[in-house]
Amino acid sequence: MDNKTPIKEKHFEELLHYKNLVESADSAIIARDLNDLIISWNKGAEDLFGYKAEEIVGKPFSIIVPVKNKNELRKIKNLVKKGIRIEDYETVRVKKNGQEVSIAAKISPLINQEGVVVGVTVFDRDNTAKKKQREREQFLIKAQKILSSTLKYDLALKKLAKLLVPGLADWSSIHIVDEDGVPIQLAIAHTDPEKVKWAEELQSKIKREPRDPQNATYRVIKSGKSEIYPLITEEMVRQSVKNREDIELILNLQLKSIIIVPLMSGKKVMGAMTLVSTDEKDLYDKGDLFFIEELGRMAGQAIDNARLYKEAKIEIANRKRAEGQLRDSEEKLRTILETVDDGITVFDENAKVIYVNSAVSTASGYKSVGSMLKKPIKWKKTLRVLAENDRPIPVKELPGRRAVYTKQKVEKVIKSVNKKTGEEKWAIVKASPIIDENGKVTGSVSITHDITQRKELERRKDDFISIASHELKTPVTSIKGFVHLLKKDHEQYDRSYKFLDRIDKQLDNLTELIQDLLDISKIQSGKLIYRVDEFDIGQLVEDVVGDLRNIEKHKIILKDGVHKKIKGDKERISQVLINLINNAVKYSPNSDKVEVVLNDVGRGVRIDVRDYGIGISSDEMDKIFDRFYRVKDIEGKTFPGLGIGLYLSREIIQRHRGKLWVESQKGQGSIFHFKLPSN
Amino acid sequence: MKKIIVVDDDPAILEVIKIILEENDYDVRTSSNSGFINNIDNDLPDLILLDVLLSGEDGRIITKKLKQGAKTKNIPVVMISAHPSANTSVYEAGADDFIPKPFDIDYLLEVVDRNIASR
Repeated sequence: MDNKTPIKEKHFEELLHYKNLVESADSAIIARDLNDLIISWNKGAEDLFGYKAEEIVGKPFSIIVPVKNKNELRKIKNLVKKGIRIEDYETVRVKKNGQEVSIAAKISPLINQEGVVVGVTVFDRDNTAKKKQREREQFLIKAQKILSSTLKYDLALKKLAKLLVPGLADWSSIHIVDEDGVPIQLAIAHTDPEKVKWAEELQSKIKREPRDPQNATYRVIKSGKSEIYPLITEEMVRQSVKNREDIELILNLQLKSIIIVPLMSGKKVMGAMTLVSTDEKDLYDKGDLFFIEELGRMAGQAIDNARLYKEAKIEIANRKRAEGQLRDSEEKLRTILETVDDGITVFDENAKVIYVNSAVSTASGYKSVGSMLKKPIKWKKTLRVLAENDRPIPVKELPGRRAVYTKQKVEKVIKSVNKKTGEEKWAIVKASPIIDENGKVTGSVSITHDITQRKELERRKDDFISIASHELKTPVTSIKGFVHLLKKDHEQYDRSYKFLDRIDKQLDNLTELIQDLLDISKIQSGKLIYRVDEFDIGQLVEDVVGDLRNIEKHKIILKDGVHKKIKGDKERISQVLINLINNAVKYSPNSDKVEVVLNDVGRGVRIDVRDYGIGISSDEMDKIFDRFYRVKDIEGKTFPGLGIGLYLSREIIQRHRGKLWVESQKGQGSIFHFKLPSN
Repeated sequence: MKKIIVVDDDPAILEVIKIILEENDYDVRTSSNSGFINNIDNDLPDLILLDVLLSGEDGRIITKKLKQGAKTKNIPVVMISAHPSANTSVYEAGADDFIPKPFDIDYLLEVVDRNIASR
């Protein structure tokens, strides 16, 4: 057996029983001898590699083997020599035009009639499509890996852009859409780093007008539809681009074929991916477009996911911060509520206690806020709650609950008495309803301010005034007695008698002042006692006016009179009338009369006291009824007195369910009226 | 001569009342506290003028005692006070009349005369 014997083509053909079959096969069928010289080259081989049989038969097989794969041949020969067949051998061959082509080969030993291996037969199928398919699948896997490797999608997209080069593109760029729908270039990769510069320059030009409809990236992002330019010629560039500089720039980039796909997530466009080929031999086709579109969807979803995640994270962070702030402010509020001395109680829309601070729970005799919230009215066992008039107040009537029921602010002074120790505490309770935007009452807030100390001070002041007035009256009493005795020793026309009479009158004034002082402190503490009798008001007015008929130079004139029975404290009502008449005299120094009228007004009487004096300006009209307020005359001088007469008078009249008011003008005199109900 | 006991802790008042009453022919004895009550049974007065607030003592309690005493219960007690609001409480204590301080001589005499007469 001589392996080196050349095998003639003729002989080879003889070996093949089905030459026609060989010729008509789609696959390339090539035979070569053990010296690697091609001995047979069918039609399929001509189609696949571009060489005609006549130009390649007899030439070395290595013509179609890329330099990098030269070693393959020896390996194959060694296997084949041993009679081994090789199925589905995938490799690369070179076409006549220099393009590489992926093939899948079936390699069998060529055996002569003696059973000796004399060569190699090769069935080559074009494997480009299949290989490409597999490569793409692998590419997608890689891309998915990259995209899912990080939530920083910008990093992932940069990696993806790099991955695209050079296998799928000479130049790739990825844009994402910002909030305004403007594409922003996130990644760019180029086989030739020099070209990146050009690409970036082009990009910066586009950036100036991101919404330019000439900008393909913007178009794709806007429409969500891919664009493919399978072959771009210089002519096309010159026609479509206006600016000469831009034309040069684009031509420099040597764009030959372009695919731009949107990065889709569902129907949302997240960005766009551009693939550029600068090689005329590597032009994009529809198949490429589908694949890149798939890749675009992958990237789009990745961006969307990352953004959603980021948003969720921000949302969570915001919520946490808000919760934190809420906690902080709640904490602050709680501290404030616990620090104040005032008791704070919050009621819900059913007037049920939902919050108390420790000031309330402590004052109500509970060990803790919690125990009070559990049994909010257990305090009734130990405390009695009374109104100012010492009447018990039912729980329902306490301001916090009243505010819920009445939808109004409620204010009350209350006294609590400890049933065991007898300890008394005073408080002013102010409650406001909480009303929502629909005007519905959702509860109330009640503030309890302890005024025990104030009440104690008031009590001491009252005691003091009471004692002081008593002490002041004692010397007045003896002085008055002695003056009366002395008066008896003198004749009425005597100078001494007149002086003693003056002293006596002044003692009366002094007594009145002391009495007023005592009264006012009693009114303040609600202790002024009224003795209610039925009496004839007409008679009372006549008596008072009769007693006062002449004061200094003034004549007191009773202009009209009616007789009507009313109920009240005769002494106190006399006091009011005397006070009004004395005021009328005091504040009309340049006049000589005061008029008093008693009117029957149906359900009661109205008494008018009119003077022709200095009058009252409108801004003083209300103040004159205030305690210790005194009217000044035009020159700013005040008149003698403590400034309590009108205050007292109004209190007395109001206690009789009456009304006291004034009509006046500065310089025009005044009319004081008071109305009293008959029964 | 009708006998009157005047009780007040203020010496000036005691003095002036004593003069006023003596000038009007009353036999006046004075006291600054409740001490007068000790031997009152041996020498009953026709009227007692009694201040409400004495030093350390309450005239109303003295009145009550007098009104409970078998021999003294019919003696008119007229109470005097600088506290006008005391008038309710003095009647509750059993006093027969009340004179607020300060008072006019004439009013004092009127009340005294009236109460002695009504006895």
